[in-house]
Amino acid sequence: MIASPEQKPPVARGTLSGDGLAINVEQLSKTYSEGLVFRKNHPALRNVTLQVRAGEVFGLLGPNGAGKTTLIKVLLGILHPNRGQASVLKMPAGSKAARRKIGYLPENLVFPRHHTGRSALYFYGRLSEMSDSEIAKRENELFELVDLKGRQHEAVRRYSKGMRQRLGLAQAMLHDPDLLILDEPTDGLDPMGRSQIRDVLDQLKKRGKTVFLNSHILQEVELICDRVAIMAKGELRGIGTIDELIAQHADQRRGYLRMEVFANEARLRPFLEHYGEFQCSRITASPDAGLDSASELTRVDIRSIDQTGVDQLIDRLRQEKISILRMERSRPSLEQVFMNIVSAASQGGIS
Amino acid sequence: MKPYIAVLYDSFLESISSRVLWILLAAWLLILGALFPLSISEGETYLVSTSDVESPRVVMDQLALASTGKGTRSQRAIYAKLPEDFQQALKDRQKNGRRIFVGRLVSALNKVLEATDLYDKQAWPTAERREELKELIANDNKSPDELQRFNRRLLDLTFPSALNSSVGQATWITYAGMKFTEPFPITARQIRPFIEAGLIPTVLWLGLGIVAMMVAIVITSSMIPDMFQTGSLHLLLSKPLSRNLLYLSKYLGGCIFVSMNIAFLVIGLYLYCGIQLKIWNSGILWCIPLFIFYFMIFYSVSALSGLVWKNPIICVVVTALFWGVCFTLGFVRDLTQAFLQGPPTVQHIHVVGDMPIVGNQQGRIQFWNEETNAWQTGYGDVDGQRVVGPVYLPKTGNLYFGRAGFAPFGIRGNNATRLEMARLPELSDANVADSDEASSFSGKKWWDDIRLDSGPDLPANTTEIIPWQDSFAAVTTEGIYRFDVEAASNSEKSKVSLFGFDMKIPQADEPYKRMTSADAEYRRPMAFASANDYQLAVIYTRGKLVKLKADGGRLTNDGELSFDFPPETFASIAVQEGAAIVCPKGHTPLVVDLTSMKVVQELEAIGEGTVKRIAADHRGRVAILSTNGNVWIVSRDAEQTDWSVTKPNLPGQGDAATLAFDAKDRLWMSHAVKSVEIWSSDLSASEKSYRPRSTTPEQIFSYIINPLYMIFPKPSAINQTIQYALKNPESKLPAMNNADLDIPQIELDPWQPIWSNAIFIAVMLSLGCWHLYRQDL
Repeated sequence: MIASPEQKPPVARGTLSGDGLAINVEQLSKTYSEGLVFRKNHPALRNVTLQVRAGEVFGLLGPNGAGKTTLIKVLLGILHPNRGQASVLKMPAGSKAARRKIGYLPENLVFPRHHTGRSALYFYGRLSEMSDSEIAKRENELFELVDLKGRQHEAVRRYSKGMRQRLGLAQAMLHDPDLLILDEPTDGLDPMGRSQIRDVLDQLKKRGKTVFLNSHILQEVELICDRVAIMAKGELRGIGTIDELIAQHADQRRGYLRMEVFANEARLRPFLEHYGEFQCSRITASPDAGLDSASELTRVDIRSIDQTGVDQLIDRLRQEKISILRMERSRPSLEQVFMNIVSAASQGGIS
Repeated sequence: MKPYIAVLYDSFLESISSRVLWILLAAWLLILGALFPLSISEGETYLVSTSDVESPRVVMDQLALASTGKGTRSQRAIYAKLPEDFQQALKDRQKNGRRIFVGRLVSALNKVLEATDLYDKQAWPTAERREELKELIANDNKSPDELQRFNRRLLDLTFPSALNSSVGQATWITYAGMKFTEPFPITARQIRPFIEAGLIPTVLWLGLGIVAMMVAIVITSSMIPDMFQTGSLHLLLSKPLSRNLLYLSKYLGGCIFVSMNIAFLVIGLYLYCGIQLKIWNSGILWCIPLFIFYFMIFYSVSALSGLVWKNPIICVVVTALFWGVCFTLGFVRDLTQAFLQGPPTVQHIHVVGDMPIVGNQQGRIQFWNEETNAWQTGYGDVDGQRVVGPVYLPKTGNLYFGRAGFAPFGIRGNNATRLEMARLPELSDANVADSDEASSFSGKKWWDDIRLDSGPDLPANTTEIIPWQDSFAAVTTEGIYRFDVEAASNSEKSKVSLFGFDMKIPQADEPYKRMTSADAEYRRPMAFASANDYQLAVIYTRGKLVKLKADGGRLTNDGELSFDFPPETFASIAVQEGAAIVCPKGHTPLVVDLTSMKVVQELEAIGEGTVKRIAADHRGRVAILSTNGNVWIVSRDAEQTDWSVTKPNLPGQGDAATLAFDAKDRLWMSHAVKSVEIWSSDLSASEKSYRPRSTTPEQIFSYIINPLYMIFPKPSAINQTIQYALKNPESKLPAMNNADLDIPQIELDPWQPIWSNAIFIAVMLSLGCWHLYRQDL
């Protein structure tokens, strides 16, 4: 189900009591204004309501301009909402007390040029009201964790983007916050780096920390997050576990069927016409398949087919002695759900 | 650690890691290194310097006379030792009046100092009686230095009033021990006030106040905009630190950078002044916080611009514009004030009948014109000169005054002050014997520029002319001269006109009769005052009060009193009821009983100010005007024992520029530049006011420029605080001339610029905080 402005926005089930919530956002709206005389208003958040449970890894998804960063800024107190309420760790969002317990990694983090990795860590630690001895206790562990050990004395202006991102993560974790708000944490990282970040997030989760992350990389979110929320055009369009989100989309339940069969398209067409939209493409069998390379191999994609249809199709193909090399029934991915939601939002419709 | 301290500490780290800082520090080090060998060295010298020659005209006249075989033996002896070309020049001067420059005279006299056989017992018969010379005469093997000293003493004896006696000490400016200037005939102690009050503030102001400030503004301009980079700011704002505190900490952090530069340079200058110039003035160190404060004014503007536009270039441009506007407004205001409030300020009042005649700072003599309700200038728009007088003599119907070149600290050009005489038309009829001439004035106004005659030159170094019996007296350092009207008119008649030029024929009848003894010398600072009956007079000279008694046409010495304060202290004096009121600059005025010649009272109510004018009336009162514009009346109390002080609360009080009593004992005083008040004789009310209408430039100044200046911030006013910090109470600038006290004395108020600019900084920072609060980041 996707929320529309008229409908009550979706909320995570069973969490409305407020107990065990790390973030609680209710009916939040924020509009940016521009111009002194002819003021233009750009709504960035519209009646957003969501809850993040303590100890979970929560992913916020949405295309550019969906209002994700605006929501984070409201949670950090950088922006004042026009309407609605937000609390973080049961404290008003943006309050000093709340900020003490938040570790934040902004998108495109820029460190002052005069810092080394170590001095930057100390600077942000001091800003988080830590004493130098407290920072000293944590620094080695953190540099090791983010794989910057041995590089901490180099000037940050010589760091690669990935190194800066890892240093940013280190400073966010430095004061052992209860809540980590990470804006595109894997941005600029190589696959190795991403894997490391995932490990770090896993560790944080095991230690009971709440992670609120905002990412474009859906596969990653799928791997890391317990629950996700999808935003588009300032509205919350979906929230829940990934399974829940997929389940919410009925038309996605049947999914695709992909087959690789030894027959040409003309021979297959009469069997496939019963199952609606399909696509055939000729492919070459891989040498390790142990098949005669001269055989005609066709990939068939059927967009929507139920299990009865699949059974019937197999029966009929086998009756005609058509050999099936491979068959795959794919579940709709988060990406598909995301695309579906976002395209529906951009068309202004409700699915 | 508190987050805001972390921001400050980070700014410090940022400063010391900045290459620009190290480049600047290296530059300052180079400048200080180059300055360090520059020093002042003191030494013994008896050479004649230009400023030693008090009256070159007199010296040259006497030497020229010697060239004709006349004059004293000592003058002839000196003439004989002069270089030949100079002897020829003297003869030419005598013959054709060809001018000889002072520098040439000085170098010729210095040649005389090298002569081994200048001394002649007959020429200097009194030399042997002097202790110092006696030793030198006895010494047959004089070293070159001793010879120089010996000959210089002989020169001093020959020209006692025209040549200042050498103190034997001189100061040179040296660089790495090399002397490369002519010696200054003053000691290092005397030069110190000029360095402290003039040189150091100027160097600091130009170096730090302008050059370093510009560099600092450019360098720090990027600090606030850098903070507003999205990736940096949001992280800072996510920390438990309010955005206002973040902004203020960042602002103060910017000041740390500049503080390090300022501290380095100022401490360097402090050490330089102490080690090389022997001036350990802790005021220099006070300049560190003052210059930081000065920078904070500009940086508050730069920081606000950085918040609004987030662009370092705009920060620099806006700050430069702010600086430009402040500077221009201050400059225009100071300039207009200097023109509108300086020169027209009434500095002298002389009352003729019921009419005030004033002399202003510009050197103009002015009369009150009832018709136009304004002061009317008479006798030429002569600018830039100092008025001596005026004095009106009913006997001749003439108004006498002199105009002298302005002479700061008494260092004056040697052009003689010419006496000007003006017949006052409206008063002349009754007094002037020549009625035909008088009738020609009918219908003329006082200020009509007619009948302005030049009288005989006033005696050399005339500082003031004051009424004296039926004439006037010229006060000079060589004594008091009475103007002889008869002799002067004879002198007028001895003029002949040749080709349209007035040629003066030398005559024996001198118009100025010396009243004090011929050998008397009253060195500066000096002042003269007489009792109303002219039977008693006092002269203050170099920390000493000399009582003079009138004896026929002469004034004879009748007792002396030396004061405790330094001899270079200037003092104003007045005589009233057998007592002298002495007002030394920077000290409490004193009452000296002229019978016992003892200080009998200190007028503590007046305080340690500087008294600019003092006047005595015929009722036993003395009016004292301090440079801050307050008028005090000093009179004996009912028991006729102590002197009491009152401060009349009448219009013009607190802003007075000059004062004078008239024949009816009313007190005339000028205030508010050109206004004159007449305070009644019992000082209970103001009888009449002369308030000239404002001219258009004055109105523009009063209603536009001044109000704008008042509301605008005044960063440059910090200079006043810096001057105050550097002012050493122990080394006051000596006043050597009573004209010096006519210079408007600006009382340095160190706190006013601090308060006004602190308010400005607070407003700028509050605006920044407010902007930051309401801004979506």
